[in-house]
Amino acid sequence: MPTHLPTRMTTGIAAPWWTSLLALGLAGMGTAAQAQSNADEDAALGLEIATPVAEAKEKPRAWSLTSEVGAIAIQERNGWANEAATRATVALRGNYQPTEATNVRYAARLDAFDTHVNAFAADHDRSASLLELYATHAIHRDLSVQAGRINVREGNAYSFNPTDYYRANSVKLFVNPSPLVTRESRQGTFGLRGLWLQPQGALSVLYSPKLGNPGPSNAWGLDSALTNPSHSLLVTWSRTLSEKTNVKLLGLKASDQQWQLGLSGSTLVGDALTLHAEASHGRAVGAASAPSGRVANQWALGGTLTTGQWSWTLEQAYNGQAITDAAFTQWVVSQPQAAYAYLSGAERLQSQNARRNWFFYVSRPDFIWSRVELRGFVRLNPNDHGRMTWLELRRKFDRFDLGYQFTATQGRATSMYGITPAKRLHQVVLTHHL
Amino acid sequence: MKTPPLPPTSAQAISRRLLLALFALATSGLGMAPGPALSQETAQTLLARSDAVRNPAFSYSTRVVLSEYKAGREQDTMVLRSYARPAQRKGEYQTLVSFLRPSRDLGKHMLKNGNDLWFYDPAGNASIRLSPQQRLLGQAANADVVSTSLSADYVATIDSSEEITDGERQRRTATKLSLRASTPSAGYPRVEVWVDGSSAAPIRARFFSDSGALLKTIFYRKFRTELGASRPTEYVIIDGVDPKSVTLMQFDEFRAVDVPAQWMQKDHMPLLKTE
Repeated sequence: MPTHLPTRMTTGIAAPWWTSLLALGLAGMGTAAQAQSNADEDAALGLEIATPVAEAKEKPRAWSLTSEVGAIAIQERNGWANEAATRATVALRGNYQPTEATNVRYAARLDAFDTHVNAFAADHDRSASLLELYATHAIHRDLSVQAGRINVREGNAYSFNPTDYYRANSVKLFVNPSPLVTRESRQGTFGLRGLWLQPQGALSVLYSPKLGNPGPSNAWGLDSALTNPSHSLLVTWSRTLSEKTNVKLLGLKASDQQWQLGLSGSTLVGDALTLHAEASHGRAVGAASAPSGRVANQWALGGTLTTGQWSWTLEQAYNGQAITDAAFTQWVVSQPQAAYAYLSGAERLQSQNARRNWFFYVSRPDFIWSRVELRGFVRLNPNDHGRMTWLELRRKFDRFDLGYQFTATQGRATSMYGITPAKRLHQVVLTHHL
Repeated sequence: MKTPPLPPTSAQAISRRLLLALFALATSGLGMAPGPALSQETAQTLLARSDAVRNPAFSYSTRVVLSEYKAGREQDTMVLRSYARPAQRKGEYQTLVSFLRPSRDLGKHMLKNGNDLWFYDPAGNASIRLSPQQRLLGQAANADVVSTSLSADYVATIDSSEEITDGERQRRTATKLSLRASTPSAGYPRVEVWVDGSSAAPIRARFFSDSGALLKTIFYRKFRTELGASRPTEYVIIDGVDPKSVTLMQFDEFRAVDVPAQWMQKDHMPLLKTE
């Protein structure tokens, strides 16, 4: 006992002289940290929402007007001359509610280039597009009917949507190689649609009449013969299977083709990953390459993972209506104009030009700086390793966006991306939101 | 008082995890010197009472003005209209948010039904499934926090009675509840909530990560009588990692509305009218 006491005292006093200093230091740091924390909280509690309040009290508008100007520089390959152009777009979108049960939705845009650009599949240098104009009338809270030009967009894949049956020939003028941007300028189909909402899903039936024989696009017309090339009926049924999973079944019957059946769905895995898939089965008609009447499946499968502020999407897509890489190579050698026409046609159809593609997409808000958004993708043909890269940096101000877009294509001289005239494309855009 | 949820970025972004989830607790009884009746009240009941202070038990809509600050400087502001509807699971809500401002986001909607989260962008006519972690429209992600029920996802224990600074920067005594996640849908593994001892009104909440790191602090303030009860009409959300990053969420134009179940699904989002 006697020995223990002194030992413990010695240990307690002598050994850790430095630990006392450390403890004091940590205590001091802790106090300082707490003081800083209190100061931060006090500063936060002193904040008051200022400017927006008065503005926010104003009745919000039911329409928006977006204007955009762009300057483009293109470095070409294969003997094509480099190009430079400027472009402008004005887009109006909104809705109008004449009665409690009726709502009219509209969207239109004007596009103009100062000169023809070979890099884009463009039939015009200037065009006006009526994207949608339709009325929705609620018969009761579960049942609505719609009539007019309706933008019927289906599918949940980012790059290629096999179940998006009304996408063909719906864009008059391409202003950007990104499928994400192209979707914003597609015109709807004229038709009549009934929509029955259910607690866990919906049933819709769309009838779209034939409005002419497809011909060249009219820069200032409705292009109704292009968006309505045949009589067609689209039936969709969607269902939420659980809190994390939903599916959609689609059936399309057009007067000039047999039924096409589609399936799409998505699910949540954990709290950071979503998976999506869509597929279509039917016989090819008017496809870019597949013999008419042959069964040609199409599908896309992918997922989006979120880590911090980054979102990463990876997809693989298959297009049974596309030409094989070997056949395309033969075209390039023997009839290059046919190869160019095929690529241009695939773009107009908003179809995947290769049989199989990988698509990798990334996005992040507040990239390095606040209010700077980064997004971009790489589309890769796994057979010939040709690829397209697209990148956009966009700084958002209160009413303006300033963006820089970069596009590059790489591949062998006989590959789809290798013969694309535009090797690199730079575009600076200034967008105003009213 | 609930604020509905918001969406992602297709074309632009606003801020952070959409679903973080939740908040508030409320309490009543703990606080200082609880009386006999209050002392018998369980922590879980206090939490449920606090939830009820933030969120009415019926469907309603409210407008949300959401401002983001960095080091005291306003960075971004948006205005939303949110519709909340009690879900089948007691204490939870389905929320549908419509973006009113800025004009670049006009017509976009976000739907949250538990972990079923969707974003609709009229420009692309597309409804996209989001994961709870996915950030699309920035700070709007915080909005759904408002309508989340803590009592449905957490088990509460009464911790202590403390004197704290409230959202009005006044010192007051509050009851502290410690919460542990009890369901997979809980946004955070651990939460601390301070509530008023008599009214169960939420005063402050802190949300922690698995590692114990503070992720965010929320102060509830500017209590007003709305939809039949005194409710906080402003949240001050302080980032735990960067305390100089602050989001203010202000609520007004509360209305009891009939929100049909059919609205709370992705197929309805394209039909939702812009104001």
